[in-house]
Amino acid sequence: MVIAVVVFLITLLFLIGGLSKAVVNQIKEQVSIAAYFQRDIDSADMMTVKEDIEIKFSDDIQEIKIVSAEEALSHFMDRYRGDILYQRALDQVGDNPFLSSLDIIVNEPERYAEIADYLSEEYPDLLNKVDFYHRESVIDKVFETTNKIHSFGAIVALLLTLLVVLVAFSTIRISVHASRYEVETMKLVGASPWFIRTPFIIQGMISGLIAALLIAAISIPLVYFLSPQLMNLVPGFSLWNYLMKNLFWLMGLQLLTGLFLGWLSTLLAVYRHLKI
Amino acid sequence: MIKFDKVTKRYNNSCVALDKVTFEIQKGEFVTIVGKSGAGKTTLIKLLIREENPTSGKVYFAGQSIADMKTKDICALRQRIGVVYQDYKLLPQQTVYDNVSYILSVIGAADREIERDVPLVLEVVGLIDKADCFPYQLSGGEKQRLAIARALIHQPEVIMADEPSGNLDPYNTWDIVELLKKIHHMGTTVVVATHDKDVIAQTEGRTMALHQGRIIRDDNNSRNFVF
Repeated sequence: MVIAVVVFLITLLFLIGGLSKAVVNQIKEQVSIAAYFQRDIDSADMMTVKEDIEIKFSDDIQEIKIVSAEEALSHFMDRYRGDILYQRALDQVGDNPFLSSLDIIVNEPERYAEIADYLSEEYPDLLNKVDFYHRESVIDKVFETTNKIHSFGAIVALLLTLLVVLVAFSTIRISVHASRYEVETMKLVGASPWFIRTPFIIQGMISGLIAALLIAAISIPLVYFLSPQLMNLVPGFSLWNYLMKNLFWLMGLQLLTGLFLGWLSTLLAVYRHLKI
Repeated sequence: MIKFDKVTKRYNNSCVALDKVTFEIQKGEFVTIVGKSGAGKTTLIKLLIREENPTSGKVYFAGQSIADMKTKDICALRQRIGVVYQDYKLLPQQTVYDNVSYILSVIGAADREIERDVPLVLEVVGLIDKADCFPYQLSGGEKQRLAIARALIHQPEVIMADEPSGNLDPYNTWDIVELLKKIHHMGTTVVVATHDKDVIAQTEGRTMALHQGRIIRDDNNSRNFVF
């Protein structure tokens, strides 16, 4: 049963890995650089900056577009249509408070810092500010959290493995005692040590295999029922689809974990309790 | 064939089971080792099959020191020696036939060999009619016969019987000793460890006396033995 707990933990970590990747990808899609131009900037200057970035970072750019001040105002009005407070605020300001901007989406979030630094250094006169840093922290946070979960999970798995070994010690001791007549007979007639040990080790591996199959049987319907709920938290990500896509790998991981733990724990226990 | 050279066995540095025991047993001999309980008879057997190691001295089998043997050599050694214990050490969940065939399957014998040899050995020990019985259905004498069959099935060069009549009445004791003599006449070296006067009186050949771990007598006339 302790083997089943370890296999379940491994399964959980596997699924969490998929979930966190989906979260990170969604965040990545939402992350962009917005480089705000100075007020009353020439459209030719804006095009110059855009073309420069397109050429210099052509491999990294996913999307780049100029949003004029008028477009920005229009987007704002559409978003907050019917909201009297925002309408009043705009009326009080009078002029269009928005600046023209250059919106950039890249393939890898790690490139944002370089692009932002380049814009700041090359066009200090044309740009009012470059905005993205606070979104980078979100991505870093997700990565950090995922890594912490994986590290914690690995430590717990290791501790549980030690527990598996201890439980196996006790189980094998009982098993050896139950088979003491056969073991004694085998020793008397000169059976090799491995001939005597192997049945116990195979017994342990079968226990591990059964534990893995049990967890597989439990985890698949569990994911099926939990997947819709998780979709509310991470829209667009179906844990069930992720499981189906990686079912071969997951089941392989479960079976290997179960077999390995069963083999290792009984091997150590047999050496401890079976004196040949 | 078997040689004990100044063998001492001490348990926990205080209990001396054997004290500088030296003797040789040749191939084909029938040797009876006599002594009271605690004289060291069982220890001799344990040392010979490497169940224990001597504190000092050397034990040889077929010229090879047992202490120097590697694991695979010890396995081979044990296949050349058959041991019969006072408490039989049978497999309670297996029939008479399976108790004997189990030995052959452990040492890797083919099914054909098992089907051929097991009935023969059961015939020799007089248990062929009880092949399908379980040990709990046998009498003390029959259990001991089964134990002998198990010791004999892998055709050992030596049969060592440790108090084979320990749990038996005089009639069964006589049967068992006669069976051991029959096995001896078939060419197997037989060593019987006992404190039973009836066994001593019935056996022929060489007799060694052990007392407090030492051999106090070693001659060829068992009838001369008096404790």
